[in-house]
Amino acid sequence: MSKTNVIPQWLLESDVSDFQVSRAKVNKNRKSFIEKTLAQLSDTIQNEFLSEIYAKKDGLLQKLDPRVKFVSFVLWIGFATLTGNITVLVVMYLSTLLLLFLSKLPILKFLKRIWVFMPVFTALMVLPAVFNFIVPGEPLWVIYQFKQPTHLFGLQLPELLAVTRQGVKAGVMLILRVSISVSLGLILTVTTPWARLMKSLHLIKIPGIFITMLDMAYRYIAVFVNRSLEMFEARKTRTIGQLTYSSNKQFVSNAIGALFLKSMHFSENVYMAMMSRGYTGQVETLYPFKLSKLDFGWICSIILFMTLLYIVS
Amino acid sequence: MDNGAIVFELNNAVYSYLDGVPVLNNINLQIKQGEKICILGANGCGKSTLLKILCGLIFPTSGEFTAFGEKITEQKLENDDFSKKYHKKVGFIFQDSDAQLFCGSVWDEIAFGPLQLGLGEREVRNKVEDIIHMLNLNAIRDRAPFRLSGGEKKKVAVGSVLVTNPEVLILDEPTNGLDPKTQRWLVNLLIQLNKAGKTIITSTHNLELVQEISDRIIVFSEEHQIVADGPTHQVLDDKELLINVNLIDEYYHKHEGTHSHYHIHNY
Repeated sequence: MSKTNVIPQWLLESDVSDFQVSRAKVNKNRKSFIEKTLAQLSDTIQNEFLSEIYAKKDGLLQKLDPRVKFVSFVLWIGFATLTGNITVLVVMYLSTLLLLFLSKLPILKFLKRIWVFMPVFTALMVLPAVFNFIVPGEPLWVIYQFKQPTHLFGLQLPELLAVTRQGVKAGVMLILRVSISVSLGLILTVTTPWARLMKSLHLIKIPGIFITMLDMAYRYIAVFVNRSLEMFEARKTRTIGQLTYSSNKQFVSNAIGALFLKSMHFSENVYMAMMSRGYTGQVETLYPFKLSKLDFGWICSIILFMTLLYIVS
Repeated sequence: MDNGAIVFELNNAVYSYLDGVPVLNNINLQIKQGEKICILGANGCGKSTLLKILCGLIFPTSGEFTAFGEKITEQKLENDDFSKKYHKKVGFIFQDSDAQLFCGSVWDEIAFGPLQLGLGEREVRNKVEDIIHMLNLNAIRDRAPFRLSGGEKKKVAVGSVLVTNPEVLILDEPTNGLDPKTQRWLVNLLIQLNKAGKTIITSTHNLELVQEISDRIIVFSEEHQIVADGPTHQVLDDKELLINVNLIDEYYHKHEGTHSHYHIHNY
């Protein structure tokens, strides 16, 4: 036998070192931020989106034809964007909550999901608009009254720094509009099985290549999140003690690079798999949709609802 | 079964990547209709590349590749009509089922091929239902392929290829990661399909499997060349050859008339 195949002697001896948690330091096994984020992402994608638990519930929206749902939601969002009446917007937002209820979705969970990121993204963006130097108007709350004209970086500041009624109204309207759109988008995607949603996009003439890209991204995001988690787990099983910040940073950048190369290789294989089953650039699909009485009922009530809101506004 | 028409023919075929190192080196090969062939070789010897050429997914850098009497070139396969007809005849089951299953549900996955080939709705539905019934996939028909187990994924991948009724079935390491029962199921299926006249080409490392799913073996060396091509029993009996191509070591042996396997011997 050649020497290269000989197992070294130390590998055949057992390691008798103590297996005890050191008393001096019992650290909580803290996961890194990225690892935690990936784990939660993977969990949400697998358990909530891919398993389509909400789409299988027996609620109102789950029974509707996906095309009808898609078109009515787009109209709904369009209406919310165009209306200038705050009461109408509040009514529209409350009715999205009603939709959550009628579709047997967990209202609190969805509210949390929407309102956790709403302050971060939208509220921060609209914050400057509430002040009188962006949206002039009737002061609602005076923050500071300058005694004399003040200049800051060459700009002349107004004598009064205040929150205006018009500014607050514009901010609240924007936040309401975004909440309505995000809620409807979320409701649409969780109450419709993905494959059916994609087919309904085909039917309303959204370009095929766009739908294929969306579909593939959705399909493979789970695969890649899992592969990146595996990379973290593989490293963890070989890590003894704490790692320095810089070596962590290096690992993350290496992992991103490795994942990129893997995804390139993978996409090549997926493309070949598609070609070998007759794909030539256009995905053919079956459209097993039929409109039911419920769909017509839904269309009529949406039209009625919007007309009413229009008259009110 | 070697009296059929020639399905594939490679003459002096070479395939190399951009760096110029050949992955296939001067390959000459003929495959006839109805044959069941195994391609053997150590990891990285070029088996998968050969299979992809046969499937019309990549093309030899030099040399000639003929399939069904027609010279196959990249230009010809760029023609949508020709490409569809070619892929209808040659089915390819990938090693990595995740790459092969790209649709949202099992039903859609199986329907993908026939829909791409332009079959009518009714025919597509009938064929998909037949395949679901044959492979006993009814319980998972609406599930996302991502959520399936390894064995289920392989079954769906096989179904998604068989549904277009290809004349040639090419499988890249099909039993990798499958439990013994699923392996047995796949072997039986391949044998049945071959009896029905289909050409089966498999690349594998599983020498026990080889004896059942092939009457002919093509062996690749680590230099990416064909070093043996002959009847299965004859090639498997040539222990020296298999050792030379790094496929087995000296502990591999056969039991008279039954099967071959490893024994752990005392060092």
